[in-house]
Amino acid sequence: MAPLKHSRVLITLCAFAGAELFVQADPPLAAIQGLPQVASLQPATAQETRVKAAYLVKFTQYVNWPATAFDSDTAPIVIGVIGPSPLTSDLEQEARRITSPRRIEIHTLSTAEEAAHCHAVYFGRSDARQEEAWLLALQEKPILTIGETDRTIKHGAIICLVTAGKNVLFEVSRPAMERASLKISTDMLRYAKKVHNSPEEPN
Amino acid sequence: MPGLHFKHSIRQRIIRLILLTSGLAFLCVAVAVTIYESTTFRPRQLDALKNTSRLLLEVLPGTLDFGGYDTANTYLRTYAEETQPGVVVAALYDAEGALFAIYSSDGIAYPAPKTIEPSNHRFTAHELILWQPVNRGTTTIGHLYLLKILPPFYARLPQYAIMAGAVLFALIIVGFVLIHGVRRNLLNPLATLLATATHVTVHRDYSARAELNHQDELGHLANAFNRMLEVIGQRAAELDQANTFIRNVFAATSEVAIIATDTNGLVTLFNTGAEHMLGYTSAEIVNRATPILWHKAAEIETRATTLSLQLHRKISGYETFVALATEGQSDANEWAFIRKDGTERRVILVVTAMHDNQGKLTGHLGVATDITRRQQAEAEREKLQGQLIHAQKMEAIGQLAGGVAHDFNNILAAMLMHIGILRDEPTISPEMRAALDEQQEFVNRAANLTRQLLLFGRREVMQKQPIDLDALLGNLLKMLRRLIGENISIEFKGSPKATWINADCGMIEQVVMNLVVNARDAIQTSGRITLSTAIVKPTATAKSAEARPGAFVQLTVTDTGSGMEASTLEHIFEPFFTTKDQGKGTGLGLATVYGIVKRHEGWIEVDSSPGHGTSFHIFIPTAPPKRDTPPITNSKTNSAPSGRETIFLVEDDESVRSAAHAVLRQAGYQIICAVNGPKAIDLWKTRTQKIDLLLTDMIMPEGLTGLELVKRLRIDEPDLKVVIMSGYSLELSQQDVLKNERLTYLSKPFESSGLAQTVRRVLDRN
Repeated sequence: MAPLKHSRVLITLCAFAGAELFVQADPPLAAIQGLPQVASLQPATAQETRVKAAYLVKFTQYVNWPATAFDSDTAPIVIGVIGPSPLTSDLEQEARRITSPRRIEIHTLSTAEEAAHCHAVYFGRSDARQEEAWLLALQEKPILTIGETDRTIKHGAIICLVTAGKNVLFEVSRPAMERASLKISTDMLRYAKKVHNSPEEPN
Repeated sequence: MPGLHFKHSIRQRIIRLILLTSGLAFLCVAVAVTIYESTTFRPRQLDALKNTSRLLLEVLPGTLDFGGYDTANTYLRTYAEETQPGVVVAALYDAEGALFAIYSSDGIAYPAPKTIEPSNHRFTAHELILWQPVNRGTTTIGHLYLLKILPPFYARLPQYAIMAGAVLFALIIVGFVLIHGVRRNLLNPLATLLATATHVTVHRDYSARAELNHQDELGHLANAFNRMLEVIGQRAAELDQANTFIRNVFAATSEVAIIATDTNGLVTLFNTGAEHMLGYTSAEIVNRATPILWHKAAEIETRATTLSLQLHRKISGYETFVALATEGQSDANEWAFIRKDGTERRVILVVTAMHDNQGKLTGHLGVATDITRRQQAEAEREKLQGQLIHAQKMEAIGQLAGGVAHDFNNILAAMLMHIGILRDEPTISPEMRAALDEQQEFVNRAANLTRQLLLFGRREVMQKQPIDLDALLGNLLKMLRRLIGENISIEFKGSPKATWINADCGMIEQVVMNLVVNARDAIQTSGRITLSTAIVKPTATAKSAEARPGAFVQLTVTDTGSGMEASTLEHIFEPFFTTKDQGKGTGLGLATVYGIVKRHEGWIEVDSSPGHGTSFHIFIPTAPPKRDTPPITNSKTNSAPSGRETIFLVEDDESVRSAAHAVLRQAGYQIICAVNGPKAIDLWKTRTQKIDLLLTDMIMPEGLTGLELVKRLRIDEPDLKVVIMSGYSLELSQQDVLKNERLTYLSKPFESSGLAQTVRRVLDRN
């Protein structure tokens, strides 16, 4: 019953301390094999892409940007995707499901300068070569950077998507997040596979 | 309050009231709580479920977004089992409506619904079903289904037990405070008032006051109560005074019967006067009898007939007494009261109707005055009137007899003197002398007859002489014994000292006889009369006002008879006052005694009380013993004395004057005659020779009596010797005058020798 008790404490603490408390998630929570959408009958790649697109959109709902990151209260959250990507259509589909005042826009990026106007930037597996340079350029900007290679965290990205079998998990880098002046809700952090407290930690 | 117990005390009632109120309040609270509970139960349950699930709804989006299936399960279980007991099903659905996580206490009894019902809630008999959206921001990403089993009513009650206990406790506290307050502010003052009222009632002490220092209504009540006591006290005092007055009136009217009756005639009051008058006691009569008891039936009937005619309606029985009074008319009537012992009293009965304050008839009051004695007194007075007329008749006869006797005495005196002259004539024959002696004897018998007539007319001459009272009584005793009869003994106790008094023997005998006869009449059947004498010297504390210092002979006549009331004693010496039956006494007996004793310069004292006999004490001044000097009486001496002196004879009666003139001329005296006083004075003034003696009648016409004549003549010649003649007795004052004026009295008729001797004796006196 220990986890259960722990969870209740967590709920209580969250209620009182808000989303700024970071706690390392319990390993069993990472098991998402039973999730219906993951265990669907879609082709593996398409399924994975859809999950990743859903994750990207969901992440934006748990992240707090500094007020300076937006022009207005209703200014849209812009997610940047490098080059033509199979993720774009899924992202757009997922973005339509969001009914909050801030819409989500998907921009296709070709340069790092373009990325500086985004609120979140996704680096696919194919973008591995540009990843490090872009991340270097974007660091200290309030941009949620998401990658999916085993070097992503080391390059300074905030979130790294990890594929475990059919399941997609994520890791979070606390130093990168702090550098970018972003705050990620504990409701999301709770489900991270790992929270890196230093960019040098092994994956 | 010790000693006072009430079946329904205010304290108990107030306690009961407080308990009832508390109970009702409790009941109201219970009902209110029940109504509140029933009416607000479902909304409260819904609110509770919504409120408690809010936190759950905050953590659930993460589990949906990031695949926290197990976490969601744990959340749901923790919520259902610990946060909101009673929730038996908690299910989480994702945005597509697919079941994401579920908690069910019994999977079969409580399965998860197949389809979602967004934002809805509903109640069944014992269940509350709540659908809530799971939102991330403003985006709905799933739904939460909750099924709660509602606790039955009885199961909800225990939560109110503490509240009920608290309310009950509060009510008890309030109750105690109320009882204490009521006791202190209401019951104790009331007890004080009650104690005062009881004290006043039991001890009739209207000076008691309720001591209450309250400024509230009770204080005012106490003040009002005290003022009431004051007024009642005054009224009680007035009532006592009035009662005392009425008692005094009742006591003072013991001679008057006061009888009150109710409207039915039953006696309600029967005073002492009524008891005396009727012989019944109050206890025998009050509430037991009507006045008919002591009335004559025939008298009631007669009166009823009269009243019926007067009032034009049938009157009978008890109404006869009160009919007039009831109609407001005055009713004073004479009635006969039949006493308990059967004797009859005549009364004047005044009947008055009594009314209460509203004017309603409450009964009648009868006041009866006994007039039996008054009627007897009236009869007695009528009898006395008769006696008075009789006595006046006797007096008239007496005066007639006295007048006749006076003239007779003059005639007889002349005859005796003429016979005397004839007898002294030496030339007459012995036969003639014998005839003259016989003639003188006839005249003497005629003189005796006139004396008896004078005695009858109470004009007898009082002839005082020294007498020994003891000797007189001794002689009288035999005759007295015959007078009083055999049943009464008479005793005489003489004084050891000689009892000489200057008195008329016959009068004293009459006094003794009158007293003894009275004593005899006072003794009903048998008894004793005691006569006693003593020499006394009254002191200043003597009983009678007439007592005076000096030596007196006291004659006491004591009887063992009925005695007399003080009221009777006051009147016994009044003429015509008598207690004897008609015809037995004249009422003059004691009056005569009184007059005689007064004429003897004495007085009378009486000791008497009813049932203890009577003692008469007669006091007469003592006198020197009898001397051997000859009394002033007629004497028969053959040798008539003679002389040469001049005698002035004044006599209105010619026969006496001529006879006296003849007797004195024969005896050798010089005589000057006058027929009345004025003539005598004329002669006196023109007298040519010395007059040695005045012989005058006492009573003469022409306005000048013998005594006045003597006074006139003695102005010129103070040593004038006087012999005064009279056919009447002399009044006391006249006797004194005789003594003081050196007069010699010669009572008519007298013989020639008597006249000659008296004249000679006076002339010879120095």
